[in-house]
Amino acid sequence: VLLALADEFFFVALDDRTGKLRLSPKVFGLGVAGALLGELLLAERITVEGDLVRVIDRRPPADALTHTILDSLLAETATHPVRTWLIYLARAAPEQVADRLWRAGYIRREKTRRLWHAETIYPPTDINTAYGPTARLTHSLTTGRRLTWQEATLAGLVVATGLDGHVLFTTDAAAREYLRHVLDHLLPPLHVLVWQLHAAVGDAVLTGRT
Amino acid sequence: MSTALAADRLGVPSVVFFVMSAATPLTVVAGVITLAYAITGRLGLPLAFLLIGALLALFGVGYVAMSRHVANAGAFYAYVSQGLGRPVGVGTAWVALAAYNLLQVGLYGVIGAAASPLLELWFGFSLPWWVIALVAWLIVGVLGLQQVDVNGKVLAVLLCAEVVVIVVFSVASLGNPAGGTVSFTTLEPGNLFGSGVGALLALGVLGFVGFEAATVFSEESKNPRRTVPTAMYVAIGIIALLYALAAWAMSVAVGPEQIVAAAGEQGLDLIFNLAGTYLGSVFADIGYALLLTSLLAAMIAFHNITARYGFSLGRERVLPAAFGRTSRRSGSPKVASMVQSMIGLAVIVTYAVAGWDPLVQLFFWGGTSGGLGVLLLIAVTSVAVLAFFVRHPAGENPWRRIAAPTLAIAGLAAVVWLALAHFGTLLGVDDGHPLRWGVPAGYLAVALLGIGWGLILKTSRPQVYAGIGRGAKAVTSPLPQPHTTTPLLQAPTKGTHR
Repeated sequence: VLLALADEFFFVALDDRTGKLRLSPKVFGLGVAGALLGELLLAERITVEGDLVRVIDRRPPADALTHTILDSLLAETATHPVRTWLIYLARAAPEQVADRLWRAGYIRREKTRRLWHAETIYPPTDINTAYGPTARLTHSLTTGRRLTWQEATLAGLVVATGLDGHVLFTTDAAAREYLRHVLDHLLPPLHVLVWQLHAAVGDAVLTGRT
Repeated sequence: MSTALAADRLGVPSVVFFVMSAATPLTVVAGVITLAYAITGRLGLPLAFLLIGALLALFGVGYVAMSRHVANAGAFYAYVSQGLGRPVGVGTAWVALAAYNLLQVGLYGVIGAAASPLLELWFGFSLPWWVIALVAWLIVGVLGLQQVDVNGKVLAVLLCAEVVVIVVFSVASLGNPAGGTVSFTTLEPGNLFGSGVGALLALGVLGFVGFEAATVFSEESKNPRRTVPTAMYVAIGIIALLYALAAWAMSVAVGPEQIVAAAGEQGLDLIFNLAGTYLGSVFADIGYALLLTSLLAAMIAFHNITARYGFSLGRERVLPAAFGRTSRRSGSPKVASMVQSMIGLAVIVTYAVAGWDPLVQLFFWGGTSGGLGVLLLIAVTSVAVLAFFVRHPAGENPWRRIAAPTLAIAGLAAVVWLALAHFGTLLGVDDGHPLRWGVPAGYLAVALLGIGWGLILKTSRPQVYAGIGRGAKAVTSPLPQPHTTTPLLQAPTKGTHR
């Protein structure tokens, strides 16, 4: 199964047994927003110069969601830093990506009520599809296999949102060494994206609004 | 920024609520003000709140202006790192950790006295203070780890209720003045600028702790240049007026001649006894209930401030990287939060075993010592602001970068001087007491140790040193990985900061 970057990130952050997210809503939102920007970077529709996001190819992508994201980037007359886009996209990104996965038939959507607050859970329709991205990433990192750019970016998003403990055992020093190597050699725009995401997650903790 | 991008960002009211969540007014009014009257024996407190409010607003001019150049804009030490050098920044950070921990653990000393009347009323019995404190400790510890969204609507409602109760109580007090006439004695400058003025001013600072957090929201606010300063001035104004009103009204109802004695006898209960007399016992009970939630909110707020300091120092790797670790599920600064909880537990157990007085020796001493620490932090930061703008004058007018900071330094230096000179009065001990010089000396020692650590980092770990004061944006990013020493993620090499 070929999944887009944000879909893969969604599944890594999803507990496939319960359909619940492993991350707090705020951090998850930032992570998915980073993944959507990552899709546009990998598709070479945008680039990052310094820390500013710039559109380099206006042709609409085939996928409806990335098309929407590119449109909102094009709607801005000025260029904005990665951080601004992360905060902005984080608001709608989780639902948008859940929607894409739901349309493709990969997840269901259920509203649950717990005591005082309602929560949406996303039980996957097929455990193998849902666990696939995590399994592939873990396998690549532990065997030292060469990663695709999408896998390497996913690894970066996973580290920046604090999911690395879920993908790798903290004791596996060799795999961690390889992970560091992968992150060090990300293409500069992807590196800035991962870096800015990591800082945004930390600042969310500092404002107490995770 | 276009309206689409700015939509949903924080406006002035939201930032005011976030800032005031650490203020918890009823805690200050029932706890700090009454004990301040009782222990210092001075009458000038209402005026002290107004004076400190004005001074902090003046300080805020340069502080907010500089916050636009500071990566970790909610923490004093980040300003000091950039203004006075990174080693002094580390010293400031350590003083902050000590001061906020003192403020937090101090509150465990007062929760027992606050809860006892309600327990008597509802169940007909009371419990030792430390049992109640341990229950509160558990709640704080759990909520701190869960990062439950207590700073949302619940807190806003409680905050509004507290403000309403204080205003109603105060108006009732003013309507029933002792001796039949409203006395303005406690507002007279002569009662502030007597002996012990330093103690009153330091207590005044205690009421404003947390105002500095406004700047942390600049990245999420609608218009950082307007939203953040407006919210900060509004918060300072509300706090100053509210506390001055409450402290004055209390003295009017009891009578300026009797207030010190009455506060000494009745302590925490004074304001509720007044409310009970003039408004009926139901109001007093509402007040007690709100005091309890107010205290819990204050404990959680200070717990979170301390934990975030630890988190940000952990991400910079000034403290062990583990402090920068978050809980995946809740996004709370897990390790820093647990460490603060352990400190709280140790203090409660120590006081319980030793049989020390929780109200004076824990709450009041902890609170005033912590307040002194925060005063020192503000004063050092005011110097850092001026030092920064002398070197980076671009983009700000002379009032914001030179005049206001200079005036603030002068005012704060005077307050620090007086607070240190009258610290014995502040604690309510005579000048031979070990704490009289022990607390200021303790802060000095902590600061020097921090500076020393900063200098060690400069030579031994230059990359960590470069990130001091940058918080979550530090160049070296410590990621959760106990078994390796180098970070997984390195900053982009062409970054703007090194």
